[in-house]
Amino acid sequence: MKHYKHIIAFVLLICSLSLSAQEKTEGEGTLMGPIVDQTEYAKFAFLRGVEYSIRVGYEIGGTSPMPLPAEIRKIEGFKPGMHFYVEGNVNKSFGLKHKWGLLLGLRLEQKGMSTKAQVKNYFMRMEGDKDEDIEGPFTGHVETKVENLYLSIPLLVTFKASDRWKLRFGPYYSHLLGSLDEDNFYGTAYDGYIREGDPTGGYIEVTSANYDFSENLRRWNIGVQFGAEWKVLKHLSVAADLQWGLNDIFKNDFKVITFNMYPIYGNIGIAYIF
Amino acid sequence: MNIKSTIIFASLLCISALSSCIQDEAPNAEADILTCTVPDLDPMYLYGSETIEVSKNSNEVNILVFLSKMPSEIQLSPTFTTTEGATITPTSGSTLTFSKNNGYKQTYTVTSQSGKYFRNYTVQLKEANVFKVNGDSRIFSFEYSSIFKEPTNAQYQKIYDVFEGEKDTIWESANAGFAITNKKASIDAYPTTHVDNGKGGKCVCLRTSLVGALGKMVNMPMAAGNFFIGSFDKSNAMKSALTSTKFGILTYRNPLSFNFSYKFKRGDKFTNEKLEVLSELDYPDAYAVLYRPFDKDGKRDSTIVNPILLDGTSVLPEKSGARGNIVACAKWNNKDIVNEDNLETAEFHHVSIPFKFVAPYSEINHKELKDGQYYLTVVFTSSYKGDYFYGAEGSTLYIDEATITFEPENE
Repeated sequence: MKHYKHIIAFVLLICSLSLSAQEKTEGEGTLMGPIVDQTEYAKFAFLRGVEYSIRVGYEIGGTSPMPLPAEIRKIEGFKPGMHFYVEGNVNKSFGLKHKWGLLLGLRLEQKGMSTKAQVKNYFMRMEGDKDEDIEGPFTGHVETKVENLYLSIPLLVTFKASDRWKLRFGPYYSHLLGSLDEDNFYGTAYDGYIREGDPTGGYIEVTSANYDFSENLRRWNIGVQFGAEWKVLKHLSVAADLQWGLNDIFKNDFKVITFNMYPIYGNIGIAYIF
Repeated sequence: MNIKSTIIFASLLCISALSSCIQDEAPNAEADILTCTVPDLDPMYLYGSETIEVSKNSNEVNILVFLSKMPSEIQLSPTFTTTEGATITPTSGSTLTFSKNNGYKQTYTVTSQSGKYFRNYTVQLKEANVFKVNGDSRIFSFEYSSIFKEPTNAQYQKIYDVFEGEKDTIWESANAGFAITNKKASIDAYPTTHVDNGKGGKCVCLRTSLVGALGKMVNMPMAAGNFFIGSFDKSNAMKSALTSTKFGILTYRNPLSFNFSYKFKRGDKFTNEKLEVLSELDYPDAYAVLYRPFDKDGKRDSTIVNPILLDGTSVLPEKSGARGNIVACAKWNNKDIVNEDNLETAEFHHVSIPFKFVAPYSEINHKELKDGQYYLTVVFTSSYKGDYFYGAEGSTLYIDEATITFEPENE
C-alpha cells in the first residue's frame, strides 16, 4: 500500500505542474496589457523558451554486473516483463536560437526483469530465518527477479538539432521507493550444490532454495542518460532514452554478491508538450 | 513492427549482447579427493573394494581393512582422482609407509586448480566396522559422547561406545543434517542428544524438532530424533534426506533378540510434511534389521565390490519391497508390542523383541554368515513416520541399555 501513496503524490505533482504551466501561458496575455511592472516582465523573460511536457512509456533493460563475472557461465533466459514510467519535466532553452537548454524532470519508473543463468562458484546466501542460512559458493542454476520502483530526478542538457529532433543528455538521481511486486531482488537457486563458506566447505546438494536480497539494496542510485525526442505533431513527440546506472545497487556492506550490479535500462514512450 | 515483437526483438538483443560477454571459465576452486585406489594392497587384508569413493564432506580417506591380519608395516602407493585441475601432494601413486607406528595414517594436501584453496586429508588404513560381541550379547549403555564442531561452528554431540577399552563409533545420528540449517542451535536443541538421568548413568534422548524456515521450504520442516548403527552423509540431506542415512555394519553372529529400556513423551500436534495438523497420534519406533548387502539379483555392486547398504528408503521390509534382501527384523512399533498403557511412562520401561524372519528367508546360512555376507543395524526414532517428515513436535524418546543377544556359537 505504501507504494500507492507515492504514485498518488506523483500524479498530483504532475497535475499541479501542468496547471501552473497553463497559468503561465495566461501570463503572456497580461504582458500585452498596459500595466507591467518590472518583476512581471522579468518573470516573462525567464519563461521565454520554457517548455513543459509529460511522458509515459515502456521501460526495458537489465540489472546486471558489468562486465559479466566469470561466475556466470551461461544466460539461460531473460524476461523484460511489463515495466512503465511516467515523467514530467521543465525544459528551459537559452540563447537567441534556443538550441541549447536545461531540463529538470521528475520520473516515476519501474526497473525490473527476470533472468535465468547457469553459474559456477556464484556466492550465494540461501535464507530461512535469521539463524538459518547457508552461505557459500553455489554451482548450478539461478533465477533472479528484480522489481524496483524508483522516483528519479534527471537534470539534463538539451539540444534542439532541428525543428523535429531534440536530444538530451545528463545525470539523474534515483530514489528506491519499493516494489510493485512481492519484493525487490529475489529468486531461486536450483539443481546444483552449495559449499558451506568456501569451495572447500561442506558439500550440500540443492534441489531448490529461495533467496532474497531486497533488504540489502541501496536506496539511491545515480547514473547518466542519453535520449532523443522526435516531434510528430505540435504537442506530441515520440521519445527514447538509455539510462546507465553508475553505482552498485547494493549497499557497501553487502558482501554476498561479490560483484557490483548496475541498472541499465532503455525506455520508449510518447511525450505531450504543453 | 508492433510493440510485442519490438519487445521480443529487444530481449533477444539483450540476451545476445550479454551472452557475448561471457568470460572464460575461471580455474576450479574446489580441492576434493573424489576416489582413492590401492592397487597394491593384498585383497586378503582389504575389506570391500580397492577403489574407495570419498565423500566431499569428509577429510578422511578410510581404506577399510582387517587390521588383525595386517603386517605392522606396509608400503602402499595409493592413487587418487581429484577435482579437475587440482594437484595432490605427495603425488598420486607415491609409495608411502603405513605402519603401526604412524597409526597406519598419511597426510595429503589437495590444492585447487586456482591455487587459492586447499584441503588436508588423512588417508588411513582403518579397521572395518564389525558388530563386536562379548560372549553371546552386546550391551550398549550409552555412557560416552564428545562434542563435534563443524567448520561452520555448528556444534552437536556424537555418542559412542567403548568396547573392551576401545572407542567404538558405530552409532550415528542425523544431527549433521540439522546442523546445516541450524548453525546457531545450542547443543541441547539438537534432535539427538546425550543426557543425564538414564536408567543407569546417561542415556540417549531423541526429540522431534522443527527445522525452521529453510527446512520448510524443501518440505522437510521437521526432524525426528534418530539414532542408528551406520553412517550419515549430509550431501543428500536437503535433496533426498532418506538416502543420507546408511544403515548397518558387518556381523558374524546371528541375532536373536533386540532389547532396550525406554521412556516416551508424546508431542501434542501430529503434523505432516507441510506442518498441517492431522488427527493422529505420534508413536516412537525402534527396529533391528539383519540383511544381506546385495541388490535384488543377489549381487554386490558390480563395478565397485562394495556392500550395498540399506538407507532410509529401504531399511524396512515394506519399503525394501522386491529387493528381498532383508533376512530378519525385530520391530517395536507393531500393534502387539507397543502398548498404549505402558507407552508414556515416568520410569524406564523394558522391552524385548525377538527377530523374525522376513519371507522368503526362513533360516540363516551359517557359512555365508562366517564369510561376512550379513549386515546388522539398529534404529531408534522419536516419531515413527519421521522419515517422511510426519510427527509431533516435542515427542521425546529416551533410550538406554540397548542389547542384542546372539545365537550361541557351536564350537
